[in-house]
Amino acid sequence: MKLLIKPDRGFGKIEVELDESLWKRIEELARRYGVSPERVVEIALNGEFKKPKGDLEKLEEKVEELERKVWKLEMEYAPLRYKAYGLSEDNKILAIELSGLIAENNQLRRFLRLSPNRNPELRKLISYYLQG
Amino acid sequence: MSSVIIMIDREKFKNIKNKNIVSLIEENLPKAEETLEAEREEFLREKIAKLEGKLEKMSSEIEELREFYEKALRDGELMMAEKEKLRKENEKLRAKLKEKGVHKS
Repeated sequence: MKLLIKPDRGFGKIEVELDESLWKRIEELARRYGVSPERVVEIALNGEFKKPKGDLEKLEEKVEELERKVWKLEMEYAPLRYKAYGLSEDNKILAIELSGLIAENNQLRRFLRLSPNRNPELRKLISYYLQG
Repeated sequence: MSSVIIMIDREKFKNIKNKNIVSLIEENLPKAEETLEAEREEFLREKIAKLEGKLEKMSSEIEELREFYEKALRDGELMMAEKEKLRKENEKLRAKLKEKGVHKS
């Protein structure tokens, strides 16, 4: 494999030939860590290295566990949202029907000279669903 | 023959220009592996923080939704009962009014 190294600014280049076994090692590392072989060479030439803390496996497990939990919640969220929306729409229709019945009730009571039937809690509920 | 091109910082380029590149890569490959491992750890730590944040947000949203759903269920039952009550009462009142009208006439 021919390797061509160039500076990010200015001129010049370095050309070297990497033998097959070295290139295979580079490719293997790239595959294992999900980066390009160029990135592996870049790190090797850069001279700025980092030390791992050694908890890679635990971190991978933790990510997997959290992803499973998120997925589970997503599975619960969508149908619940759908059901709640449907229920809220049903309640809106009920609120409209109740408004009509209350109006009729008030009118009938007025004709019959009866005291009006006040139900503030029910009215609050009706207006809540009519606004929603 | 296949080839790869790498762009590196100008100063770094100057530093390695007169070195044996193949030996340098071979020598630094274990350290590059450690760096990749450290970067992967860093990436996973950030991902964990994001997932934990998402999980917390979703849990509170789902809790809110569950409360809303349960309230809507209770409200629906109550409104249904009130509807039935009013329907019957109105029926009686209408009958009473009709009766009164008949008596008047």
